[in-house]
Amino acid sequence: MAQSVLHTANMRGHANHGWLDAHHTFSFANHYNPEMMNFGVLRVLNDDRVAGGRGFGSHPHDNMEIITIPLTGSLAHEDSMGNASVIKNGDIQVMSAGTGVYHSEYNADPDQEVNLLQIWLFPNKKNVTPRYGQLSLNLDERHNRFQQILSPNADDEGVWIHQDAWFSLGRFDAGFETAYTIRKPGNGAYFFVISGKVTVSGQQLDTRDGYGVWDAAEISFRADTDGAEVLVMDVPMQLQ
Amino acid sequence: MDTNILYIGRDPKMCAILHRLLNAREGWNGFTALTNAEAFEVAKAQRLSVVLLGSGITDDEERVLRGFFGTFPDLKIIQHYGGGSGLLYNEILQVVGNSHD
Repeated sequence: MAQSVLHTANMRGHANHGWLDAHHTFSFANHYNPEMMNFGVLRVLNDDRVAGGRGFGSHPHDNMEIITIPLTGSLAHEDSMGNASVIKNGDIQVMSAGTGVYHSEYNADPDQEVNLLQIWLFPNKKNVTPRYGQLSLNLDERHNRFQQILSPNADDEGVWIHQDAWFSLGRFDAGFETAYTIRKPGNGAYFFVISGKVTVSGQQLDTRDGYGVWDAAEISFRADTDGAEVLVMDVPMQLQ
Repeated sequence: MDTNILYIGRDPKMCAILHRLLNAREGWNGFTALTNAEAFEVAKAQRLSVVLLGSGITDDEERVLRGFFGTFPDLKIIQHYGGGSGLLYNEILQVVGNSHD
């Protein structure tokens, strides 16, 4: 029988540092809620707003798969592997931190805020060689469908990571109904509503709500408002 | 009583950052070790509550560390993920509780 967990937007941790206004779906940094630590291997889901020209100076990461999805604005990235780039809405960036990497992330625009989702997944293998990837996605391919943007396979659609996880983005017309099929037995799906209202497996969700479903093969989905946008993170429920 | 925490990792720069982060928290004393030998020396000198295993430790080295630290009563051995402040405090609070907040 399907199981589920609901994290409404107002249950998230909140930290406003002035230049950074962050909401944490799961416990992060100084926000600690033992009831909201993770969903399977999905450990971090941060909804960050960074003021123009500001950002995170060089800092380390290791043994984590880090995915960044800009929602508005643009983000400049530099890392110790020699990568330097700017990502914007419609792009996805992935970094396998592995044995260790240092990177900085700054709002590339001096005036306009950038809003981004930063997502951390536990890897399925420790101490891998660090790697970086980014991709510009075709926004038309997510209209009334779940567009795959991440997988465990280098030759599959989207970017790839060291984990049996699949991410999809969709933008739906009001009233559109479909079903999401879990990609691998033992995985669960975490639905995060970027904008609008949707109903997942009978549960009504509003903007920035999160809803995880597991022990299910198919999950019903309906958009309740026009242009509703949803990120689906299909992840193992057990850490290998 | 303060909580003594040892981070073991192979990257000197990462060790320096973890040392600073651990000691920035009231009630916590942070120690770091780049090698297993250094870790054993810290264990002789300090009554440790938590050992964090960082990056770059091979499976064989981890087995040795877990074997050694596993003999200490009440000592928690945890894998540190992420490298830095993001998950560090959460990982420790999960095993020692939140008594200093």
